[in-house]
Amino acid sequence: LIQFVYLVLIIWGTVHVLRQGGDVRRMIAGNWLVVLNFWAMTVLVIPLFRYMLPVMGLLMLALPGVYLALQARRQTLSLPSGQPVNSDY
Amino acid sequence: MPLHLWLSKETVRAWFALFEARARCWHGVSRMDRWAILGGQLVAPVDRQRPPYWVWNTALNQLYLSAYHLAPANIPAYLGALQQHKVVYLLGYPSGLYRLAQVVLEQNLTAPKLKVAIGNAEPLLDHQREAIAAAFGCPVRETYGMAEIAAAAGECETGRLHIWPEAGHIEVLADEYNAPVDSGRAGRLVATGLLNADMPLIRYETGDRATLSAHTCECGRKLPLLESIEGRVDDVVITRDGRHIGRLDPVFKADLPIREAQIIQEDWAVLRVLYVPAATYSAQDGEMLIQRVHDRTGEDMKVILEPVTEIPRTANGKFRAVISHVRQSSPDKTGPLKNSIMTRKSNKHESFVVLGLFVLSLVVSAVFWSLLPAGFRDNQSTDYLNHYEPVARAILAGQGITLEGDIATRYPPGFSMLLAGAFRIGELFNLDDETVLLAFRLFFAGLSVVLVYALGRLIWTSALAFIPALAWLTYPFFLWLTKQPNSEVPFIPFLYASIFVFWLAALHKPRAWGLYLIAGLLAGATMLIRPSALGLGVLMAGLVLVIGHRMLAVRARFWAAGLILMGNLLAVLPWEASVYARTGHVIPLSTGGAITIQDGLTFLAVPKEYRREVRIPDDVAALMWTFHERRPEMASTGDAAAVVLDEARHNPAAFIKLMAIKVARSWYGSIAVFMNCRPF
Repeated sequence: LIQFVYLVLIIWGTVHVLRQGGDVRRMIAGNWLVVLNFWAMTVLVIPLFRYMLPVMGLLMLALPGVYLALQARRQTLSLPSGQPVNSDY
Repeated sequence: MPLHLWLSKETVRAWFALFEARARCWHGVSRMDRWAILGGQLVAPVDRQRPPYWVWNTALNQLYLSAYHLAPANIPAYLGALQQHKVVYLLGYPSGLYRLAQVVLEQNLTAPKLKVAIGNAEPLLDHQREAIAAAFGCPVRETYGMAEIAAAAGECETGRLHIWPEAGHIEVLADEYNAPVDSGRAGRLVATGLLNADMPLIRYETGDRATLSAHTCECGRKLPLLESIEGRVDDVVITRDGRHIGRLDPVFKADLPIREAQIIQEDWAVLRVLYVPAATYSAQDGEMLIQRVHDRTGEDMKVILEPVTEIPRTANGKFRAVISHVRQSSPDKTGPLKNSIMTRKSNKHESFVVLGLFVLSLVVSAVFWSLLPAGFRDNQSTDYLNHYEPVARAILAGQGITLEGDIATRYPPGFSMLLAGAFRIGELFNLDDETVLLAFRLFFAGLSVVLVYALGRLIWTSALAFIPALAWLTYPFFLWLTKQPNSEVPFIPFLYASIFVFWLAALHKPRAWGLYLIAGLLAGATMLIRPSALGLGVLMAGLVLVIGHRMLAVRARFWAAGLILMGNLLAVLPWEASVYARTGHVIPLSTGGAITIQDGLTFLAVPKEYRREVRIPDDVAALMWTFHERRPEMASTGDAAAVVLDEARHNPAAFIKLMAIKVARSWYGSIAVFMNCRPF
């Protein structure tokens, strides 16, 4: 259950970060490739979470995305119309 | 939030007239004279290598000079254009005018004598004024104004800044409350526009700070005076070839769904763009933003986009569109801003954060381990007891990487070598093994936390990078894993160090070739601790080929990828050569691969005393038993692969189910039922 919470947050953060573009997206996406490599190696042998644990730190790099997503959501909801502010800058 | 300004033709006409009366006529020039402006419009492609870097605007008698091509080598051409077009006066960003003047003075060039040079859009600094005056042999005058047309001021011939009351009413209010401050005291400049009836701005916060003056001017004009305008000092961005770009903030002004943004020049070739995305922001907008910056700086400027929730303000609360941490001199002379106050402060802050995280990690780990029941605190790692420690002892005894006299190939040698080093240090300080192992685990646990922070800093601000570091150091499974000397304990920091160096090169220092080699070496070292990192070097090499397209040419990308692979091989080859010399076999880092693969095909069906029972479909159990019976055929990794393919062909449904179980269990599966301890 604990692990499930972490994974949900990581996926949430990743989705938000991947929408942002730029280096953040490149690095988080690249780290996911490293994770896939480890995942494949783990599936090849006995599939223990212990073998995946080393890459969890890499996945946690996406957690600030959760914070940013929440901030963006809060700002959007705080608008009277519930709509985003003028997108022009 | 961006402001859309509505202006009628009458307003524009009135504004132009006011400028004519106050900025031109005061200094003996008029709109009928031929003049030049150094501004932010893109009048020549930024990658243009030869003149013209300007366009002639016949309707306005205006020579529009590009502010993006002010490299020293181009200045003579600019001067030639001023001569050729018989320019009488010059208007523009003071930083750009200063750049022109600087080169004129440094290279002793002949510049046309002008009637006046007028600065706008940026504060005019004293040294800039002196240099421009010396170069063009004319007075230099400052103006204050804004696109919103709510306030304006211009300097008279005595050097005093007169407010233009027709443009708007200016108030200087206290920072903390909305009350005027006395003359001579700085405060927020709030303006009420009087010129623009189409869209009047009332008590508009300009974002500038100013000081009113109670004095009268020697010039005889009765217009109120501003003693100074503060806080409009946007740093210029300096490119590697020496071009000074005074304003980059127009890149955000168009149609991007960004609430606010700030450009920070971190290095000669690195711009970090902090931006607060609107809800409709997408990756395409990010690419467009990068392209707009590149249009002005050139493609060799690395642009890092960093989403933030708000843009930090300066100490006086002012928003700064552009901040440069680079000295305003040639990059070749000074290099990156290692010695600047800014960087030193930043480094000091980072050092405190890193040290704090390391100490916090030690404390959290120590508390977690001390709270564990006694039964959990013992070292339960059979691999450690049966292999890693004996091999480490053999290394210490000078017997090499051996176990009971034979070369130890069941696992790669990295962890045992690190343990041997730790034990040797322990001997030097007369420490018992338990203390050595405790220090070993604490050190590498702390190091991994610091590296998570370092990785985060590559893409996040310090505060945001703290989130993953904090999450990692309190992650219960990480704390559990490091409670005993598992090979993962040093494996994790080596893995993170390798990935950190790789991303540092790939994202920030694409031409730092040594970093690619180091990344490869560290990846190799990681593989020598645990073979699960097999493929990391190849993966990084592939990544640099794919993501390096923004920064490196094809040949350079292959060179970088080659360096990673070379480093990887250099780290691994001595071990491989040693094994080959002793056994005549080439092994994929260890000989444990085939056995582990066999275990991975049978673990849920074939009982072992330390395994928990797990319910699985009958056909999967049957398949696992089949694999178990065929174990003798799976002596090597290749043989195991052949058997797996064979069974997958004969029983695809069960095989797919087995793979699905393995894929899912990778994220939660445990095995440790040992010494009456429950698994995590």
